[in-house]
Amino acid sequence: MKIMIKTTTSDYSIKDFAAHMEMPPAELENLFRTFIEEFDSELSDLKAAHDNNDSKRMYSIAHNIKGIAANMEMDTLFKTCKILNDLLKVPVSATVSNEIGTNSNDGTIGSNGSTLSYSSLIHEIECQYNQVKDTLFEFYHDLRA
Amino acid sequence: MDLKRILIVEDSPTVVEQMRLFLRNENCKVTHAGSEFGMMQMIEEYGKVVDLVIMDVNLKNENGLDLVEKLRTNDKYATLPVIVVTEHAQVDFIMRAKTLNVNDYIRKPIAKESFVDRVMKVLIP
Repeated sequence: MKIMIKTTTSDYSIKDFAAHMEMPPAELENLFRTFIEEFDSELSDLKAAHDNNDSKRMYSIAHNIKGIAANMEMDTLFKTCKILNDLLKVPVSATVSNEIGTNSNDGTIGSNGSTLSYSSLIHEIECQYNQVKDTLFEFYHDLRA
Repeated sequence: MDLKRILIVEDSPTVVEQMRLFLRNENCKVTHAGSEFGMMQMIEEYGKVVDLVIMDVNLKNENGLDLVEKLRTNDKYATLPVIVVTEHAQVDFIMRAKTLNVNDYIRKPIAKESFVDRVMKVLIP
């Protein structure tokens, strides 16, 4: 199974999401604040569950954050959460081989025969989430300026 | 349309907030609960009239269809309108939802237009 994880700056478009919500971005600030509070909490719990080798709890959280990211149209974050969610469905830890990406500029990573660990996925989720968070903070800061 | 009271049973605050925003122009009062206990508190103890329950199937500690079944086995709520929200709409899920007389189901991720349409169709038959 090929798994490719993109590590790039956030491609999340607040304006596109606002258009689908049929609301101006300014009116979505509370929704984004709620999202950040919830995702911060879930990510913290996910790391704790991982540290405690609680795969059942990890699966529950991965399922939830996958859903939240999907609803918020955060596609890259959703995809990574889904990879973790799908891996956690397998009872025994899974070994996934991925191939070297052909374009190093787009941030596609991987190496032949490497093991994709839960901790690396959680780290990637955190990175992608932080990029989205930065995008949100910057957008609303500029909006208020 | 008279003011309609909607109870959302969902344990993700983000999803609840999104649904509230979807319904903000629809003359609805939206309350929410994250569990069976909270749901029954809203429906029973506070004496609130609930016109529709929007139930997430995949609650953290409970199965939303189990909660619907509990409502349906209580004479007071046997005909209470319920829409379930689910990521998957597999055959066994649909069969069980039908036997529980669920009014409709909505797939996640939720799209505004179809969500509002389905809610309004149940509220104003």
